Amino acid sequence: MENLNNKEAMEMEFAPDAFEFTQLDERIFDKKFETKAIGYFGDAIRRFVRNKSSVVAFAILVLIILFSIFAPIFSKYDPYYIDVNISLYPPKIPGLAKLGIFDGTRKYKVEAKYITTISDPRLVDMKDEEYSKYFFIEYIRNFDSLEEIEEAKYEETFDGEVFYFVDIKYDIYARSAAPRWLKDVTHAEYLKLKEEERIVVNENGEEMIVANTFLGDYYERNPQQLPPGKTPQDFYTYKVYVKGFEETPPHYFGTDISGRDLWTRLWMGTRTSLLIGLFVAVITITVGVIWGSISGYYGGNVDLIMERFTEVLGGIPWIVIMILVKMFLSGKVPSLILVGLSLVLTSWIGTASMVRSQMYRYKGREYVLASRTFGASDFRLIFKHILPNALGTIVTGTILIIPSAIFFESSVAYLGLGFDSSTLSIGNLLDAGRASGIVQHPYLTIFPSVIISILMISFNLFGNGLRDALNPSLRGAEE
Amino acid sequence: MIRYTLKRIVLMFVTLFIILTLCYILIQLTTSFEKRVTVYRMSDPKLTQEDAEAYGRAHGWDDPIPVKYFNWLKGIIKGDWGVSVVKEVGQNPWVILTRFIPFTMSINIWSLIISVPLGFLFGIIAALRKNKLLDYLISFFVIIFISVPSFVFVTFLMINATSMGLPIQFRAADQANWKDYVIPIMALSFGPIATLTRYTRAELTEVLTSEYLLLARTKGLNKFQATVRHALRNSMVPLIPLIIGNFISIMFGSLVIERIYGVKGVGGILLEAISETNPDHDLAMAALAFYTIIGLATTLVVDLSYGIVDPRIRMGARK
Repeated sequence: MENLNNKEAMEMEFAPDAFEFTQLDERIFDKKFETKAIGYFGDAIRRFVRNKSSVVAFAILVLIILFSIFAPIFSKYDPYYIDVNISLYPPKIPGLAKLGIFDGTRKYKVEAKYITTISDPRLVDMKDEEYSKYFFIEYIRNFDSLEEIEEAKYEETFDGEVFYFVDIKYDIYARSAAPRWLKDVTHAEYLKLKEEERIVVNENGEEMIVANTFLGDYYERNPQQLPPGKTPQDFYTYKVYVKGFEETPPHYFGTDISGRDLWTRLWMGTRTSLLIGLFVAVITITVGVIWGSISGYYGGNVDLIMERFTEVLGGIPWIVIMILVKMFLSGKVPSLILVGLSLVLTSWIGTASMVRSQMYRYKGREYVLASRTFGASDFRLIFKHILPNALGTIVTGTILIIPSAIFFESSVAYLGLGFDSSTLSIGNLLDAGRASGIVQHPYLTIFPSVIISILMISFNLFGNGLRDALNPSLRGAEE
Repeated sequence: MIRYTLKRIVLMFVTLFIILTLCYILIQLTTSFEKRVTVYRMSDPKLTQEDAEAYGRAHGWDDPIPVKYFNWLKGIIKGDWGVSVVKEVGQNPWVILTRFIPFTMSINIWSLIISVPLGFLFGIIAALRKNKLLDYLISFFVIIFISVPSFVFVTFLMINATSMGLPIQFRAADQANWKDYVIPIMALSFGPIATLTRYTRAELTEVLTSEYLLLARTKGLNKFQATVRHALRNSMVPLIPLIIGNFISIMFGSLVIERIYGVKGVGGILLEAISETNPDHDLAMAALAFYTIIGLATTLVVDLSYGIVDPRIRMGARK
C-alpha cells in the first residue's frame, strides 16, 4: 500500500512532460578538443627545444657543417697548393692582431748580435745561409729599436763562452717582404725579376751591379768559343736589390710544413670527417637493422648461429680488425672505403643487438599476431609493425655513431692506419701536426684538436637531447 | 658460481682460439715465402739469397698454410711464437714483447688506479649537491671530458710540458723516471674519471631517495656517512663492471697516446711490425694476441664481476 502511495507521489512530483529529450533525430558526438593535438614528432621537437644545451649544440653543429661546406669554396687558397716559401707560417687573423694573439708572429730566442736593420751594409755581400741567421728590427714586434734590444739582452754561458740572447716576437708575414741584395743572379733571372717589378732602387740609385764578369770577360777575349746566339753579357752575374716577395696575405690558421693553408685544409678535412661519419652511420644502421631484425624476428637456430658470429666478431679488439683489414685490403680498394669498412665492422654489432632485443620484445604482441592473422608478410611485420617502435633509438644511434666514427678515424690516422696522406681529414691533419712537432708548432695540432673537440661535444649533447626527446621513457644518465 | 666461471673461461679460450686462427690465416694470406725471405735478407747485408732461403725453409715459411698453422699452434703451447725478422732478428717475439709490456701496462693500470677514487669522489659530490652550482659545474666538465678525445689532452699537456717541468717526450728506457709517466697517465685518466663521475652520480641520486637511507639518517649517521656506507655500496652493482670495462677503453686509448708521446710500448711494436715495406709477421701476431687476450680477459672479468657483485645476475648461466 505504502509502495503504491510512493509511486503515486513520484508520478505526481515528476510529471513526464516536465522532461524533454535532448536529441531524438540527431546523433551526438564527443565534443571536439579545443586544444591542438601534438603528434609524436611535434612532441619530440617541443621537448628537444626545451633542452637548451642541445639546441646550442645543434646550432654549433649547423655552423660547423656550413663552414665545412662554404669555407673551402670561398677561401682564396687551394688546400693542395704547395709553396715551400711560406712553410710553417704562424696563424694570423687580422682583427685579433691588436690583442696580441694570432698576429702572425713567432717567438724566437736569438743571439743579440744577429739582430740588425734591413739596410745594414754588411748584408750586401752575405751568402744566403749567413744572411738567413739575421733578424731585422723592422719586423720585431716587441722591441722598437736596436737600443732597446741592447737593454733587454741577457747573458748565458755555454762551455765558458758568453752569449747574449734576447727573446723576440718576429712578424713572419712582414718578413717575407723584406728587400735584400741577391748575389749571383744571371742576366736572364735579372730580366725576369725586372719584369715582375720586384727590383727596387736602393739608396744609391743602383738597382743592379755586375758582381762577376769572369766568364763574360773570357768569352770577350775568345769570341770564337762563344755559344751561338749569346753575348758575353749573358755570362755576367749580377747583384740586384730585390723587394722580396709581396707581404704574404694572412693565413687564419697558419700554414703547414709545405706552405699549404691550414684554414682551408681544416674545413676540407672536417668535410671528409663528417662525410665518413655519416657514411659509417648509415651503413652501420642498415647492416645492424637487417642483421638484428632477422636474428631477433626468426629466433631459434638462426638467432643462435647469428649470435655466436657477432659474439666472436665483438670479441676481437678494434685495433686487430683495423690491422687485418689494412693488411688484407690495402692497395686493393681506395683508402676511404678501407677506413669506412673497418669502422663499420667494429660498430654495427651494438645496433644489431639493440634491434634484436626490440624484435624479441614486440614480436609476440597481440597487434603483431593480429596483423599476421590477416596475412601480413614477415617483411611487413618487421618494418611496418615492429621496427617503428625502435625508431627513436635508431635515430639517436645514428647521430651518436657519427662522432664515434670521427673519433676512430682520428685515432687510426694517428696510428698510421687511416686514409692515405693525400686525403684531407681531421685525423690526417692531426697526425701531420704531430709529425711537424707538437711543441715546436703547436697551432698545427691545436686547431684540428679544437674543431674535433667541439664536434664531439656538440654531437654528444645533440644526441643526448635527441634521445631524451624521442624516448620519453629513457632518461639520460645526466638527468 | 664455479661452474659458471669455468664455463665462461672455456668460452673465452674458444673465442681466443677462433680469433687467433682467423688472424693467423689472414696475415699469412697477405704474405709469401719470397716476401718473408726478402724482409729477412734486409736485416743483414752480409746474408746471401741462399742463406736467407735456407733460414726460411728451416722455419717452415714455405710450408702450406695449414701445415704452418699447426706448427705455429704447437709452438705457442711451448711458448714459441716464431722468429722476429726485423725488430730483433732470430728472437722469440714473445720475449721481445715482455720487455715492452711493462711500459704499456704501468700506464694503463696507473690510469685506472687514479681514475677510480677521483671518479667516485666527484660523483658523490655531484649527487650530494644535486642541482646546486657545484653539481652543474661538475656536470659541465663531465660533458667536456667525456667527449674530448684523450689525444687532444695529451697534445695540450705536451705543449705545456716544459712549464710543468715534465719531459716533452717519453725518454729512452734507461733515462725514464716517474716524470715521463705523468703526461700519458693524466691524458688517459680524464675520460674514465668523467665517465665514472657521471654514472656514480646517476646511480647515487637514485639510491639517495630510498627509504633505507632515510633510516640510516634517522639512526644518526650524517649525510656523508650514510652515502658512503649505505648508498654507495648499493650503487656499486653497475659501477664495478663499468670500472673494469673502462680498462679496455684506456688500453686502446693508450695505443694512440703511446704513439703521440713516444712511449716505447706494445703499441709501437705492433705498428712497426705491420709496416707494409718490411713486416715482421710473427711479432705482429704476438702483439695482436696480446691485445686480444687483454680485451677478452677484461670482458670475462666484467661478466664475472656482475655475478659476484650481484648474485641475481649470471650472464649466460642456466636459469
